[in-house]
Amino acid sequence: MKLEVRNVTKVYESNSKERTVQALNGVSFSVEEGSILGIVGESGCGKSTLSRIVAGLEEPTSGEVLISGLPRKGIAKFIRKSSKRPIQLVFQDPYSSLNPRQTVYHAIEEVVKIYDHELDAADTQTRIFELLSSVGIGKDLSHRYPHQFSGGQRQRICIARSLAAKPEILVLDEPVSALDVSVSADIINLLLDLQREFNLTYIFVSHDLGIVKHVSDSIIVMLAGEIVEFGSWTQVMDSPKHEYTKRLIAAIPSLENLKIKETGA
Amino acid sequence: MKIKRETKPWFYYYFKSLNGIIGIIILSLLSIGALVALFHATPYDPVAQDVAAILKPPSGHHIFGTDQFGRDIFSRVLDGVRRSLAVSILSVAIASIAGSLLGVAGGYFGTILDTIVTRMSDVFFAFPAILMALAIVSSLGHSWLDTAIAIGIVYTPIFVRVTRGPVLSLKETDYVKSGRVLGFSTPRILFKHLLPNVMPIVLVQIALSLSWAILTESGLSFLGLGTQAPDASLGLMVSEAQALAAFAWWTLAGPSLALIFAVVSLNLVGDGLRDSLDPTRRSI
Ligand SMILES: Nc1ncnc2c1ncn2[C@@H]1O[C@H](COP(=O)(O)OP(=O)(O)OP(=O)(O)O)[C@@H](O)[C@H]1O
Ligand SMILES: [Mg+2]
Repeated sequence: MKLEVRNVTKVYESNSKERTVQALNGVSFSVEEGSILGIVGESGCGKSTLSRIVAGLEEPTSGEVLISGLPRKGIAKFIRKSSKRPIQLVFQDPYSSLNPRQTVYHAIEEVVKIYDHELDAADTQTRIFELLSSVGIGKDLSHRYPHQFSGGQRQRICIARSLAAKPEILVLDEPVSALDVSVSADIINLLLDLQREFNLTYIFVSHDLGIVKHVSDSIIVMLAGEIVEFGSWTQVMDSPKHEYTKRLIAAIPSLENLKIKETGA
Repeated sequence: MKIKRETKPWFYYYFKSLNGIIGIIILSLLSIGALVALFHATPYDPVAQDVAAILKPPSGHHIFGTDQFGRDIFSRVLDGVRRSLAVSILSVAIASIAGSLLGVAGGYFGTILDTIVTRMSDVFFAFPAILMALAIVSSLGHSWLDTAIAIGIVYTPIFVRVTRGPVLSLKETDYVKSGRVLGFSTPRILFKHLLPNVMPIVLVQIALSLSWAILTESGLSFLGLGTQAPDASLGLMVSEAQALAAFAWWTLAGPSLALIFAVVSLNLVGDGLRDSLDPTRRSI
């Protein structure tokens, strides 16, 4: 399933309608099936806005999102009928993206009952435990509430819940920025394993070029709602076009920089 | 394989709170008293006068003493508790159902519905509750049903307020948004993800409003606009006892204590509910 974003613009109007925020300005790119696209940019450049639009949470002010060559609006009806949501979104903050009153088991069960409604009770349970174990959460923990888990565990649970919807494209909006470094590394490795296992397409958003480097095939650099750089990882690293990209690359710790040069050569 | 499910219901946690236990015990005793009055099983007829026993202090015959007409104060207190509870339960039922539905719908769907709902609540909040209740009661009538409807209308905006605000912020939370991305229907989001999260606030508000409604009903009766003599009502009894309390303290003690116990127990129950309904407040 190929995803294409064409000339997307998003303008937020404040209540007074005097001040408007142009969060996205003419953003276009595409992602090939089974690949990982990294999106980097500083805080407030519109990464989350773009993620929400791609995931269908918000409508763009202008422009369109094409899924397998079809405009998202046109296939929305078809999607609703088949109860299929091929694009899922993992949120930045694992502390707020789970209902505090639902045990983890019930949070996943709710999704499984939509996307695997033909399963009987026993198979539903098996499926839930299978999803949880695929992200490394044991079944003995499944009847706990979200607040009884660490941030990293919660992010794993959120990932399992997204997988329950059998997505083809997963939008990851800074999935590790709320976690500390060692936990981040585990989550990123988990995501890479899952991507291979289910042949998923990722849109991996981060403000950290160092992390994006580990994961992506191609990369987008955003600045103030616009794309200033788009290309494969080696292209961008070897010949950055925009001044801002050059500064980002220079800011990657030098040791990392060396490693990239070795592998890139 | 079988997995131990966490099926402990919220009332398991409720009975871990001392306040909640004390509140529910007092409330149960008051409710038993109200049931006794409902089935006319009070020791004496609450309105029967006895010229031979005027203003008698508490004794084995009349445990709360008698009033200026020789009526048994204990029986009158039970009957007053029955009336107060009936009025407050019905009025709070009206207020909580109407108010919560309006608040949740207004908060979630926004637009014109929300504007109308909030403007009307604002108008109601501009007047003191007792004044609004007075105005409504004087146009409806003085039966207990009219009193309950009046108090119910007056308290509806409180429930609009306590539900609308949380829904407004809850619908922007990531877990409601993620529900939308995952393809949950609007009713599922409203009733499974939003309502349970405002329910604790509503339940606590119900307990508090019950105690306020008892006070409002008493206030109306005190002012002569609620229960009419010779029927018993806690507010009416307090009002009548004012002139007598200096030399017959028991005429004031019975109804006042019943009022205090009713109000305090409902507040304690409110505390217990708040603690038990919120998983993050429970000890693991
Ligand atoms: N719902 C909204 N209403 C008004 N303005 C908004 C809204 N959402 C985002 N914005 C504005 O749009 C711009 C882009 O925000 P966005 O959240 O997409 O940035 P971001 O790149 O994800 O930042 P961060 O790295 O901090 O998450 C910001 O200026 C923000 O204030
Ligand atoms: Mg963001």
